[in-house]
Amino acid sequence: MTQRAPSRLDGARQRAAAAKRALAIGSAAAFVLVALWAHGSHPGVAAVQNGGDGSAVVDDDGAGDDFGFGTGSLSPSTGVSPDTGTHVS
Amino acid sequence: MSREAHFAAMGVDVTVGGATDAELASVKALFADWEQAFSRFRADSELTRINRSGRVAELSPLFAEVLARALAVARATDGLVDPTLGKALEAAGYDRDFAALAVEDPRSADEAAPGRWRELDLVGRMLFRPAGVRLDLNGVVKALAADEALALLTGRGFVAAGGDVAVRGGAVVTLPDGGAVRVESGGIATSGSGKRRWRRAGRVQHHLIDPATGRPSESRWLEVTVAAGSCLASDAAAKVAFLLDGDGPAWLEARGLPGRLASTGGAIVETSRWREALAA
Repeated sequence: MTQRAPSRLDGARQRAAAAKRALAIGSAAAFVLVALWAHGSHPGVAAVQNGGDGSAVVDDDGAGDDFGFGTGSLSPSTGVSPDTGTHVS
Repeated sequence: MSREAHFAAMGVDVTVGGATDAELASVKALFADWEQAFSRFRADSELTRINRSGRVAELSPLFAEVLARALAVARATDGLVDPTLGKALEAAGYDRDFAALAVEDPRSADEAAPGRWRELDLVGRMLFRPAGVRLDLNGVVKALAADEALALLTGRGFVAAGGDVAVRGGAVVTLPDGGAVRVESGGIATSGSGKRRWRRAGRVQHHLIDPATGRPSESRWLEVTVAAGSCLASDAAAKVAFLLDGDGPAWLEARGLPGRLASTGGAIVETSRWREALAA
């Protein structure tokens, strides 16, 4: 059985396929690098503190986003029929 | 309240009082959207997509906003309400809709998965998380949906999602033991281990995970009811008081929250704000 010698067209196809693979790998790597750079340079993340036990404590993005519990406004029900109920669901 | 409507969403019954037809339609659409985004049991939910993604995931604006709120709640509760307990719930056997869960699960318990909310980084709509961390936002989603749905109503009304109630303008709310209170505004919610319970490998399991251990809490409380400035705040406070076990009443007292705690043995503890409010 004789094997056909690669034509110039086959060579061009192989080079094009290799270039596509390299482009895809490069794009993925660039995306990851940009994402990690954006992540690392964000002020909420860049402020890494040292925990008391030596572990790293990293503030997340919403460190300044306070959550308040407020106060409940309860009073006795006055014998009217209930509107709804609270219970374990 | 003159007008009430009921529908099912997020695995619970939702009751809406005081809504116009158009407002009710908006409320139903909100719950449908949120269920689609945050369900742990839908293969096509955004939560499922994110949990299956790698360390970096791009979130929808809604998901990013709700996760930011969940992280704020985690900070305010020292991590007792933790959005990273998805793996712990699965380890306990809660890996499908509760209605489909076997009451007796013969499988052995998986490795415990303590909470890791401090390791999440939310930067805008980009979420960075370590491998193996799975989100579960049920600790905040239902109550927050009730708050957001109430905001769609123009007048006085309420939205109750499976016992988590958001109120504007006054509503009479029955309590787990059969009593009733009037809530003027904000929210009231009850957390407990009495309902969603099952057994795995011979051990009782429930959905209130202690983030420190990654296992269902062994709290002395059966259920805790708290009223606060919003439905989300009341639900979070009720969970915290439950998980803190014997320290739960003091935690509520320190924040001036009206709360009522019922122990598994039948004892009732009420905070001073609860007693004062109901004696008025």
